[in-house]
Amino acid sequence: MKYIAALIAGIVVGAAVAVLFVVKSPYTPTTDSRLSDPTLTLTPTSSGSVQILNSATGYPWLRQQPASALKPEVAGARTSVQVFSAPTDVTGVPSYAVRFAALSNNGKPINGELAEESVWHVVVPGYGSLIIGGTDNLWAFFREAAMPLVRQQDWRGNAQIRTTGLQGTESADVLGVSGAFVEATGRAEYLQRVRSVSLTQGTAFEGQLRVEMRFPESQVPQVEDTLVSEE
Amino acid sequence: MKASFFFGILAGIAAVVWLGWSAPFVAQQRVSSETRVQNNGGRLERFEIRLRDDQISVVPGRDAAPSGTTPAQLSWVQSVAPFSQSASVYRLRNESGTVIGMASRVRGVTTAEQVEWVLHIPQRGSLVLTGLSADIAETGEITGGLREFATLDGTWDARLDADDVWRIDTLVVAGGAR
Repeated sequence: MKYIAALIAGIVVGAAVAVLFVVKSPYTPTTDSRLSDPTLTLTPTSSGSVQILNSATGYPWLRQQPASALKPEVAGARTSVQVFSAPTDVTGVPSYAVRFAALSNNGKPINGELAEESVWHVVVPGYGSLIIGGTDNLWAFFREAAMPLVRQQDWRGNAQIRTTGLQGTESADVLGVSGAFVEATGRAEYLQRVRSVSLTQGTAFEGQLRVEMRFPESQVPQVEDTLVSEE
Repeated sequence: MKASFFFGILAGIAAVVWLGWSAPFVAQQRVSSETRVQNNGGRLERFEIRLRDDQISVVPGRDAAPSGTTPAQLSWVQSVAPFSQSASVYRLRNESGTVIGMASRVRGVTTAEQVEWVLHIPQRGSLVLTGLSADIAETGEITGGLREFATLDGTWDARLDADDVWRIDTLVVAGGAR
């Protein structure tokens, strides 16, 4: 009997050590930028003046904004949608941006991964529209904020979330949809610095969406002069 | 007894590593698609949006008649909207009425009649539709997509029926891989 008790005690200790190692491991997924010369940069943030809507199902760290907003409630999926009026460096007025996201089954905590698929639909004033698809790694944020959230406490810190590509590539994929971006492709990355999570105020963050476009030579649009000259 | 304890430690570590590697940390479901093979070629998939139940947000464009937003409390400056008509975000349903994703519709990025949809279905991908809109009837081509929809070619049409339901039919041409 005492051998079984020792075995069980050993299993508990071993499991606790392994969990602590995974949660407290110094390994942090890289957040270094891969795009040195982006064509355009959007800077969405959580402040009310630029994030005009936030709605989620199954994301305990996101606050419904406005409170009356309809939730996505996609069957069997934890999903969120944000709508931004995001300042954009190449235009004087902000871009309109919709960000759909859903947690993904693909991430493995043992690898420092908590994956989220995200898709942006962006309309840039005077240029046109594009979509961006990538995978966000929420692990660095989750590792720091999970325990306070479980204990129903507010969290303050500095966790970064980075978007990578869909097929294991290092940048998100960009597809031009209309206007100057028709038939253009490119890559993008989204870096989000999460500052705090409040049970009443939601998540405070600053984001930076950097987009690098490649235009077909036969179809260089006129309104795109500014963009071409920067390349 | 010591040997049992140390063996237990190793077993506990191995169990966590195995769980961390193989167990689903997030268990997202994937709803089956309701795609139909057409007699005359192509595959049809119909999506629905019930305007009374599925409007997450609606904001007016700079050339649209002054109007409020949905929900009413959005901080939206209509005069500097980067589109002329409207932009909306909806829940997206399959033909059976199950919510399977979300949709973004923007009208007037280039001309007043131009319309574009992004249909996003978690665990499947995103489909981009562009075309022309005559308010309650729209038609155009499948412009592209991401993940499962990345290689599809085809056409689409949408109509807002009298029951306030958008019905969006996407017809993927057979062998439409690019």
